[in-house]
Amino acid sequence: MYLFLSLLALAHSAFAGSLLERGTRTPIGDANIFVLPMKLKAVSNANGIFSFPQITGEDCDIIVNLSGYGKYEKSLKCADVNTMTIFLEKKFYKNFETTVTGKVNKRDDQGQSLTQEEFLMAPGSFGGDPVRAAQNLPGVAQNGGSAQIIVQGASPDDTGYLINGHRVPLVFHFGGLSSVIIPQAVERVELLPSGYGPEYSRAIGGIIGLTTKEPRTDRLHGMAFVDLLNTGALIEGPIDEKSSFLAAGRYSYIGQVLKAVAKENENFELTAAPTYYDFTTIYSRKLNATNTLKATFVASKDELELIFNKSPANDPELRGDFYNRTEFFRFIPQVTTELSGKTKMENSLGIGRDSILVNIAGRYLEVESNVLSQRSEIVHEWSGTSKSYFGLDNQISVDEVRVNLPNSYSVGGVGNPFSVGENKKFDSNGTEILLGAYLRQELKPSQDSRWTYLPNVRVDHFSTTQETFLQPRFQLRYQWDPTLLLRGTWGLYAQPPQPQETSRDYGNKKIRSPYAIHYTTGFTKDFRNGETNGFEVTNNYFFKELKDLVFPSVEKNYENSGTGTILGSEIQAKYRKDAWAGQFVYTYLDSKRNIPGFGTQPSEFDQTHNLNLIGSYTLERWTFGGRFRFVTGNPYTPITGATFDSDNDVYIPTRGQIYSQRFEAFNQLDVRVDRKVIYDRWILTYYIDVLNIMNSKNSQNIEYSYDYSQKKKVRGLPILPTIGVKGEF
Amino acid sequence: MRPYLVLFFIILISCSDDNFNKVESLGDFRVLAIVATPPEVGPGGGNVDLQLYVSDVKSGGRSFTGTTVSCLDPGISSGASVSCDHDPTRQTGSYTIDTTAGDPSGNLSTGLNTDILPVIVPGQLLSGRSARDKFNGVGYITIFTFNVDGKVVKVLKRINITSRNDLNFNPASSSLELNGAVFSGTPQKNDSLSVSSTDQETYSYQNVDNSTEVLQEKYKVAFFASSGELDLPKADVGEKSKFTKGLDSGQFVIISVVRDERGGVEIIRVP
Repeated sequence: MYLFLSLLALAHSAFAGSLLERGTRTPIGDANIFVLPMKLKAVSNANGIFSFPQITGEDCDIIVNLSGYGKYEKSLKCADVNTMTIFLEKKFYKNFETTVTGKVNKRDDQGQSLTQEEFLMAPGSFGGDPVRAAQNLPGVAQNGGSAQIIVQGASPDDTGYLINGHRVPLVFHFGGLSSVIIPQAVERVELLPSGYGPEYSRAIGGIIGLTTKEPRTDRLHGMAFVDLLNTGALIEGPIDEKSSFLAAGRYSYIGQVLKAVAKENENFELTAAPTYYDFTTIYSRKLNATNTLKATFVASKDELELIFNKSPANDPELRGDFYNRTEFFRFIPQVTTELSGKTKMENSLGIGRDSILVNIAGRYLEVESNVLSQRSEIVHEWSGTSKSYFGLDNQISVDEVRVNLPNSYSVGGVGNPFSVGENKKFDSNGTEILLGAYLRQELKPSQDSRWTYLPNVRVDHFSTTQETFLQPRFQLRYQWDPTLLLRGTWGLYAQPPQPQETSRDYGNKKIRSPYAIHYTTGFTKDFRNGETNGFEVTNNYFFKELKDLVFPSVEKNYENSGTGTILGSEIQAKYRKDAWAGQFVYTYLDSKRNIPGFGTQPSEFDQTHNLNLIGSYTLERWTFGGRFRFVTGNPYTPITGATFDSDNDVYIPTRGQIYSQRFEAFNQLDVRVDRKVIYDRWILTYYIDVLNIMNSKNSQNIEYSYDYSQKKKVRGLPILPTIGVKGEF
Repeated sequence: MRPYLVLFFIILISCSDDNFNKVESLGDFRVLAIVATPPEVGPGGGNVDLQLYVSDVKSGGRSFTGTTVSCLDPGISSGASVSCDHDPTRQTGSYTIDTTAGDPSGNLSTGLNTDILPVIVPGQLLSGRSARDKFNGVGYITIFTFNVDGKVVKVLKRINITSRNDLNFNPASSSLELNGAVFSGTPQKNDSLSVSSTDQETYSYQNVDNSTEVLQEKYKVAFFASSGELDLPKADVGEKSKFTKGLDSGQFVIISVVRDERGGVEIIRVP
């Protein structure tokens, strides 16, 4: 198209050209191009094409001076030039410039989301990982390098992970450093911590959702990067006038690094270096005037194998081969249909397979699941004051499970050594059906009313427990003025038990589903008055009652014996001033559990104070960012003694009051520096992201001697830098 | 599954602090094993003699008395606390350690204690239990508790009650080897200990899905030494455990405890 226009322009003029943004080659329209001293002026069209009908004289200066761009000035002999391409360099470039981020369709006021531009720049996100960046959001706990997300003091098992609305088994690769999709293929990450709407369920703690991006349609774009942990590439662009594609992949060689580090370790040898890779493709097509198709394919695999030459002193059974493989894929076709100006429908499927294999010295767990999930939603705007959403959210999984493991009873984070548990070996096949339907209503008393009422309801049926839950979820908004939104929610949330809890052979068939009642209130105040600079403050208060929580039981393996409460408040204050941006994020939390026989105590994930201070500064092609975290130490259960089990040659620890002690407060400073080099047709970015630059020695666990008479705190992540380079066009 | 993975990562990053006491080092008072004769009884119960194999190197020999309590296993393998408080029919008694007399005497206070605790395992303990419990057996436990040097030393022994016809017996044919030959002399750095044994039994085991499989015992060996350090203090039969630090000069004692993982135990001491 450009070529055609250029030729067309040439045919009718002596001098023509195109005006493009340097690095991205984005056409710049509506810009004045001057030729001096002839005092000629041309205006570029939407495709950046411009032309001059006739230029007389030999020497001339071409000048373009456009707001937001550096001034372009070039002297040449006009008589010798028929065509030229002018590249204008922007004053500020985004992190991943070749991506246009979509507008966030935010339904839940309690929820938080990060766009690609935000998470790619987030310090401490280890190269812009969306889920690691989401840990900067209020309510998300410091997880000590775990591969799970802990939301508002709930258990990690209470958080649901979604890709385009469909459940996936995990969101992080091995060790929690990186999420399962290459960041540049993600449009946004959403956190729905409490009081969320009826669209989602089966997670009493919260939801982490990743939404893949729409591939670009203007031209072919590409990106490749390499850093200390992994390498990856992405390509996207139009196929024809109606369709576009994106393909991206990533491979981690973190294992090779670990293998080199572990070479001298006598305790274990890595036989297969831990590694992960993932692959994402997205295909988008405008089917006709009303229907649009977006099909996403995501595949992820993690693998690790090592040999323990020496068992830990307090558990001699843990010796020999260890192998762990986790892989899954999802194919998610979505069709969006504009039925009318006021009615929209979206249908999607999630077709996939999950596979987990863990082998510990001949003991194993193997799970193979074929999963089909389905979501449908129809939205109709009845009038300016009434809007309805009706949706279905169903899932069926056919599971094959092979187990050969000892009983893993553990309360208060203290379990018996592997050697002591009664071994259980069985194969099990089953089908789990989860059915869900919801109705969301947005009602305003009148067009100009400040009130919005959302009387929502959801129904879920879980086949494993044969339970049906009617879950009313009410939301209320009051728009005090255009800058201040007040809100409140109340709702019921149920989730099916974990598979091992209802297993006939390993759990208890009579287990019921745990559920929670969420109460939230809060406000958002925007002090910016429509400007970019200024303050924006969000403040939420939440209270959750947790019922029928499943805890281990000596007699019945598991029982619905637990209850809990989570009380908290969170504040997020964002400030932007020209090249400066900063955030103050603080969460206060009081998360308690009551287990019969053990009393009431803090939950394992109770972090009373969680403070994040985040800042960034952009100076021309440099961006500097930093994040400081201060978090109350996690509770732990002291071990007060041990009994020598003379049959198993191991000591059985004696628990003290569960979760009665805490680790020292966690503090960590992360910094990130990006430097861009802009070439005419591509952009090169160097970056360094350093986790824990102060090398703070944060205790994350306790290691005990063979008889539990001596102990040592195990430190978390030491200073961990990653240096990378990224090229994009 | 999560607890296992968490455990694994903890092990991966920590793997045994070098400053902790070594599991193979003998010094303070320790119980190294409890010999039950016999280790398994039938559904009708029976009389079982319990004898402690102890080490008290640092004390140079002494005598003290502790308490014992015996009862039906509360479900320790399923996570229950080690206690007999749940059982009103528990049997209590006492047990005296004397490392100045008998076997321990003259062997750096390390050896088979002279006191024998007779335990009467009641009959009918299998009644009302599942077929799987009856077949695989349920435990009748004895807990020994001693207050020594201001510390509480608590030790547990199970006697298995089973309806299986072929009852387990203690291994008795193992031999301790140094560098693959009959043990002799004083081990030096880089010398290796190993145990050879030939009498691993086969036995039947009923899984939770009620399938029965025939398993063979896999003997596990625990090595102990009055000085020096071993690279593999817990080993399989035939596996070599090398001295990474040699024995101190002078008198020494080396113990290998062979367990059949079904309650049977055999102890070899040198010299």
